[in-house]
Amino acid sequence: MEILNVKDLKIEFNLSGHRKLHAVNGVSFSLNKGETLALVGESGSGKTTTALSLMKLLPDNGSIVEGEILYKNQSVINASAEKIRSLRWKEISIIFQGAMNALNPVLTIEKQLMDVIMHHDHLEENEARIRAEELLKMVEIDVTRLKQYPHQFSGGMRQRVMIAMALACNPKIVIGDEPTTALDVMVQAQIFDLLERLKKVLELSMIIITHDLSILGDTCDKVAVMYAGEIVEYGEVQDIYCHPKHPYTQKLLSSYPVIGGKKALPESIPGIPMDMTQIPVGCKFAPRCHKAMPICFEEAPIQKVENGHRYFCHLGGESL
Amino acid sequence: MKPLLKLEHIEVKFPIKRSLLEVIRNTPQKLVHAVNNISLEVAEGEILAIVGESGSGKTTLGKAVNALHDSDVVKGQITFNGQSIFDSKGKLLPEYRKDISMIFQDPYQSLNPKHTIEKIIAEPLMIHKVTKDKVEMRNLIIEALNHAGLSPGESFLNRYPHELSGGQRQRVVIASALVLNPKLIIADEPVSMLDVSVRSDILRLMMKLREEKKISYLFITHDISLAWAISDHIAVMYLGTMMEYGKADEVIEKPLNPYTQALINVMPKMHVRRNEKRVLLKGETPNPIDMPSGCSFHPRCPKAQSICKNVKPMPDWDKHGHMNYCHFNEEASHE
Repeated sequence: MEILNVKDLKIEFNLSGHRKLHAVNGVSFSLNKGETLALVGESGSGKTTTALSLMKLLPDNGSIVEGEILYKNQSVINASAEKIRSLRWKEISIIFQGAMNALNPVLTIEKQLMDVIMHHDHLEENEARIRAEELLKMVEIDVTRLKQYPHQFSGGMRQRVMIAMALACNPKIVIGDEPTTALDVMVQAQIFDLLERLKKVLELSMIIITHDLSILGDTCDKVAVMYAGEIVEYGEVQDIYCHPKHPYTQKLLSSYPVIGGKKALPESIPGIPMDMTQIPVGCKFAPRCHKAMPICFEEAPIQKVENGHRYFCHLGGESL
Repeated sequence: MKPLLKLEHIEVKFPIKRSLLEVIRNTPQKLVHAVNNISLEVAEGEILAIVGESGSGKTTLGKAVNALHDSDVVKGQITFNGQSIFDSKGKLLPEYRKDISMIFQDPYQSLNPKHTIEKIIAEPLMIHKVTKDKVEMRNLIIEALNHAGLSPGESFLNRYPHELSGGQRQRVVIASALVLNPKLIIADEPVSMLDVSVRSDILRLMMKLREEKKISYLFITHDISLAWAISDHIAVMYLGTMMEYGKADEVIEKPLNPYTQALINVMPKMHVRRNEKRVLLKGETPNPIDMPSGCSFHPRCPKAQSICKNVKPMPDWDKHGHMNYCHFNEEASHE
């Protein structure tokens, strides 16, 4: 069942001197119930902006200029402030990036969890406290630690608290913005293991934002690879891993060494991400693409679809 | 090959501050056991990767090699080029600082924002009084910048760190590490802060410098796949102890220690394995103040027996130079 549908989303940021930054340029995807989608790309590719817009959490200078976001077939973009308030956290919640800094250092974990619950669910203090205990159990932290402060928790534990907070109001969709980037591999594996189990029990849908393609196999169903505010390739994890069509995806995949694979220095992607204030005519990746042809600089590629695997490239999608 | 750097029984213990009350009551001084009895060798032109999670003591060990700790917290012998790095009075040999340099993790914090690139790279030259001639100094700086892939070097001299991208900044860090022609570079997570596309450029640059200048690296990282891809030898650390050491391929393909096996098992593998069983270690690295008895890994080890709790294992070296710190040293199959 489709729970979220994003159609042709365009987001701009106003910069000083009447310049505009085109952060997201026509992004479309849908999310089914119980499904995990990954938004992947380098910094500045528009993945966080896309995710924040789902809850209308864009900064003041950012605005959705075109497109539609449908949550359970209802428009998010045209919703009233009241509607949006009930959407945030109760329907869609987010695990913010940087577990180290996202918690308030001068409040206990209990207080911070209760604040969320009382604000959104309008519960009494006692009920909220019981709920906070439940949440902590859910993320496998000893309830005796409720009265402790964030500095008494390790990075992995803080990330668990962030997850508990995101689950506080029984959301249907949880967005994880680089949920494990600052963590060790072992802790990362523990966190993904926890998320996977919670997802099954609570029937959650998830959107994972990451720059690390190698973790997708452990967590995700679908992958959307973003470059310069566009989804350049979209498909099942298995297809993206085994048959990447877009040269950018191919390069990203080969930029991590993988044990058991070919032992070689990771590949590099030459050049730097494009200046998002000026949109070129042709394919946006062309200046950095190792397979670019003259047509790539003149015409934007149209979408090709093969069994639910979509990509934008002039090439037929030959492998490397 | 004769070792360039030799560490023998290195221990780093930091005393914890006691409160006045504790001093009056004469409570025993507690120590953070950051590095416990580590012996390693690095040959000329070799890359040794030190792999471990946060809190494993890998950075502390790197700093000990760089002689950045107070001398009273470090015990053990560091020999460089066949010579102890401290003289008989315990003073650091001045040439040692020229022969080693360090690359830090975060290029946004390791460059002084108020200095131009020229001034940043000139600093080591001035400290070591390499030359007084301005023109010569400038030429050395430009050469280092060119070597670090910032060419033409001239165009970067008068720029400030904020004008450069993350990758370029890390190249400046490398240029200033190179300018004294070191024999060994200690690289502490040099690419973990960089974007995917830039990471490989920096790694390639480091490999190129090894080929051209025979520089050895002590490569400190948490990423065991990266260590496998670039290094000759790997040392795996846990809670200040070296758990396993050997040729990179051997450690990865035939890991002997349960900790190494678990680390390799959880590394993302680029294939769909959501329904596969994985060996997840429970809990987190314990606190290095109250070290577990016996083998320091026993509270989390899936294979722990009662002997592990009571007796410290002895490092077990096989004839290929593969070391395993474990009571149970049978050949274990990979995964």
